[in-house]
Amino acid sequence: MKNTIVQNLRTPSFLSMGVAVFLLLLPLTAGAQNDTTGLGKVRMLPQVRVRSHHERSFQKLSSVEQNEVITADGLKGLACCNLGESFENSASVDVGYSDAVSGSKQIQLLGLTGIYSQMMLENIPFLRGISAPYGLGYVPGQWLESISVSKGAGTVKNGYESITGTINLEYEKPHRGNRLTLNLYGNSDGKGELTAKTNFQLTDKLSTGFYLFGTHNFLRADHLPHESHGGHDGYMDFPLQTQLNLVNRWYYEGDNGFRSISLINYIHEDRLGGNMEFTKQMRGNDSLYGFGGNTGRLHFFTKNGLPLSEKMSLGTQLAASYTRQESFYGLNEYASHETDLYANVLLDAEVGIFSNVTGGASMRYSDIAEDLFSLPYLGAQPFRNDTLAWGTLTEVIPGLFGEYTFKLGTLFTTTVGLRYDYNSAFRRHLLTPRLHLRWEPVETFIIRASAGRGFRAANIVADNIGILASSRTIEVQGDIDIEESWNGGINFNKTFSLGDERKLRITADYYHTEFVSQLVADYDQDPNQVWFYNLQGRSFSDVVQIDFNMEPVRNFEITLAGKLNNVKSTYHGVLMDKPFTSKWRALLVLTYHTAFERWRFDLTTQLNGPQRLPLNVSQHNGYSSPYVYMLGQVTRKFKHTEVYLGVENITNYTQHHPIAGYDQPFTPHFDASVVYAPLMGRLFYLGLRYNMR
Amino acid sequence: MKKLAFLILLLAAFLGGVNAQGKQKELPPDAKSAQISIPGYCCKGLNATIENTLAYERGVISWTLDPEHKNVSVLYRSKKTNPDKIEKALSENGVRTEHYAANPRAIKDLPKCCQPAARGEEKGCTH
Repeated sequence: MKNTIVQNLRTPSFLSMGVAVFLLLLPLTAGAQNDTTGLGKVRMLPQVRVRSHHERSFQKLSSVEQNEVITADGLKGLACCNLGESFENSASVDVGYSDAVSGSKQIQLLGLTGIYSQMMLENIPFLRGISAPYGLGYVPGQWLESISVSKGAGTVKNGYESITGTINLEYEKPHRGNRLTLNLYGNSDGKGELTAKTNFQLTDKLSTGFYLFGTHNFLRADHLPHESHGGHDGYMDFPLQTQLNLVNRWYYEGDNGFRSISLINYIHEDRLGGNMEFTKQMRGNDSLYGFGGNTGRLHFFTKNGLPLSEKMSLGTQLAASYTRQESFYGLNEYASHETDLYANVLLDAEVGIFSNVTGGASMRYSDIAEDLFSLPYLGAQPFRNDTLAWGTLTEVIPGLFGEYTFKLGTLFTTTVGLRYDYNSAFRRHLLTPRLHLRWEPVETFIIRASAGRGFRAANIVADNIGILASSRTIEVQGDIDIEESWNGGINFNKTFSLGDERKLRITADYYHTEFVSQLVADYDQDPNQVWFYNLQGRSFSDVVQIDFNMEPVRNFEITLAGKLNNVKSTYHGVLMDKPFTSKWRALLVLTYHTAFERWRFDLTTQLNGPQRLPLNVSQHNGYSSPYVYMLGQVTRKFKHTEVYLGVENITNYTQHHPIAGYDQPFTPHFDASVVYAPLMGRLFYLGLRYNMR
Repeated sequence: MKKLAFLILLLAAFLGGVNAQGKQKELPPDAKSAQISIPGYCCKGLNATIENTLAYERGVISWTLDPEHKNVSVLYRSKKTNPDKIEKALSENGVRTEHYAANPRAIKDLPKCCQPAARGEEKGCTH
C-alpha cells in the first residue's frame, strides 16, 4: 500500500448537523435588539481561504499590489444576490445604504466612498458616473468568477481614476464555465431570484455563453418597529425591485495565440418604495410619500490580445455603454442619461531578463446629462436645475501612458508608471505618476509599498444620491473643480505553516489618502441644506488594518480582522470626521466544512464602530452607537446540486426610526438620508443551485 | 462578547462530534471492487478532482488511489453502480480513463501541468 491514498466515505452524523444548525440559530433566541439610543450603521466583509483549488479568498502574494481575491467559492457561502452583498467576508470593503427608501448600496474602501475606487469589469473601467449609485445591484453574484480588491494606487494602464484602490470583477468565462448552471433563491421577505447560465463550445476555438438574472419582490415588508404608528412606521423597509439582466459573451482563441473576449449586457430595473400604500399612480402628488425608479443600461466590451513575438504582445480594449435612469423621491424628480465610450491600446514587451515595459494610449468620451427638479411643497424650496454647476458634463479624455517593471525573481519587484491625460471638461492637463514596490526579504514575508496620484470628475447628484430622500436643498458655491488626491501605503504579509498544508497568515496595512482638491458635501451648516464647494483646507483618510487568517484544525478556518479609520474633511472651515464612516470595525468569520465539502457552515460576525452623523432634522445627531451584525449559512452539496439555507442579520439589530418626519414627508422635517445601521431585520433564505458540466 | 465565546465553544463541540464518529461500518452484501485504469493521471494535482468525483458518485463506498500504477481501486455497491458508470463520471470531470476521453471543458479547470496528459497529448505531464 505504499504510495497509495486510501479514502473512506463517511457521512457526518445527524447529531453533529443538529448541533451546527442550532449554532446558526442560537443568536435568534437572544431576542431582537434595537438601537434605541439613536445611532449606528455600517456593514462589513470577511475573507476566508480553503485548501487547494477550493479557496474562498486569498491574497495574491506574487502581485506587486496588495491584492485580495474573493472567489466564486467564497461567494457561495454568502447569500450574495449581487455585488453589494459580496463583501460581507472582507474587512477591507465596507457596505452601507445610501438612504432609507431606495435600497441602493454604497461601498467604502480605505474609509472613502466607492466613487474613489475604480470599479472594473475584466480590467475595463465600468460603473462610472451616473451608474455608480445603483451599480452594485447590476452585478449578479452568481455570475462572478472572482472579485479582486487592490488597495492603494492602481496601475496607470487603466486611467487616472483609482484613488483608494481598484475592484476588478471577472464574470464566468464561456470556455471554462459549466454547460448549465441554475440558481433559485427565495427569502422570508418575499424576494425571489433566478440565475441561469449556459455555455456552448461551438468549435475548438470559439465558445459562447448566455447568462440571465432576474429578481422580483413579491411582498411589501415593513418590519422596523415604531412605537407611534401601529407598531411600524408605515414605510417599506426596502423597495419592490424587479430586475432583468442578460449577458451574451464570446471567447475565441486562435492558433497563433490570438485571444478575444467580448460581452454584451442589457439591464432593466424597476424600483418602487416609500409608503406601504403607495402606488405608481400617486407619483407627483403630496398624498403619500413614494420612491420609484427605472433604469435601462446597455453595455458592450471587447478585449483582444495578440502576441507579436515571443517577448512582445499587443492588446486592445474597447467598451461602450449607454445608461438612462429616471427616478423620483417624493416630489423630487431626477432623470439622467450617460453615454460612455472607451478605447485603450497596450503594447507590452519584455526587455532583457529583468525588465518589462508597457506603453499605450487611451481615449475616453463620456457624456452625462442630468435633469433634477422638485415640485414646490410645504415650506421647502424646490430644486432648480440651474443651481447645479452643470446640466451636462461632456468629457473627452485622450491619454498616454508608460509603465516599467523591474523584477528580480521573487525577491524584489518595482513598477514605475506615468500617464498623461487631457480632460476637455476641466481643460486640465493631468499627470499621474504611480509607484509600486514589493520586497520578499525572506520566504513568506512580504513588504509592499505604493504611492500615486489620482483624479476624478465629481458628480453632485449621482455621488450623493441620498440627498434626494431628504428635504434638503442643494446649494452650490463656485465652479466645481476636478478632484485630485495622493495616496500612499505600506503593507506586510507573513505566512506561517501550521503543518498539514494548514497556514496562519497575518496581514497588516496602512494607507493614507490626502486630497488636494475635492468636492465637499457639507451637511453641517443647516439641517435643511447641503452645500457643495471645492475643498478649502485639509481632507484626508488614514486607515490601519490587521487581518489574521488561519486554519487551526483541518477544514476549519478563522478570519479575524480589525480596522481603524480616521477620515476627516474640512467643512466650512472646521476639520471634522467624514459622516457615515465607522471609526473602527472588527470582523470574525468562521468556516467549517466536512470531507469533500458535503456540508459547509459559514458564520460571519461584524462589529461596527461609531459613525459621525451630520447635522440633520431628526433626533439622531452626534455619533452613532456601535453594533453587531451577524449572518450564517449552511450548504449541503450533492453530485449536481447544492442546497443552502441561511440567516441574515441574526441578532435582528436595526436602526431606530430611519425616516425622520415619516408622518410629514413633504415638509422640511422629512429626512430619510440618515442611515447608519441595517434597515432589514432578521431574514431567512433558502436556495438551490444546479450545475451540469 | 459572552455570546460569541459561547458560539465558539459550541462550534468546537460540533467539530469534536464530527471527528468522533469514524467507526467502520460493515460492508453491504452487494459490495464489489474494481480497478479503474487512469492513463490520464499526471501528478497529485489531479487527486482532488478524482476524489471529489468519487465522493459524490452514487454507490461508491471507498477507493484507493495508486499514483504509481495510474489506477484507482474502487469499492462500490453493484446494485447502485458499475465500473463503467464510475469511469464515465471521472471522464466528465476531466480525468482521462482507459475507455473515455476527458471532457474538454473540465480539462480547463485542472491544474496546468495535468492538462496535456488529460487531453492525451504525447508530452504528457508537464510539471
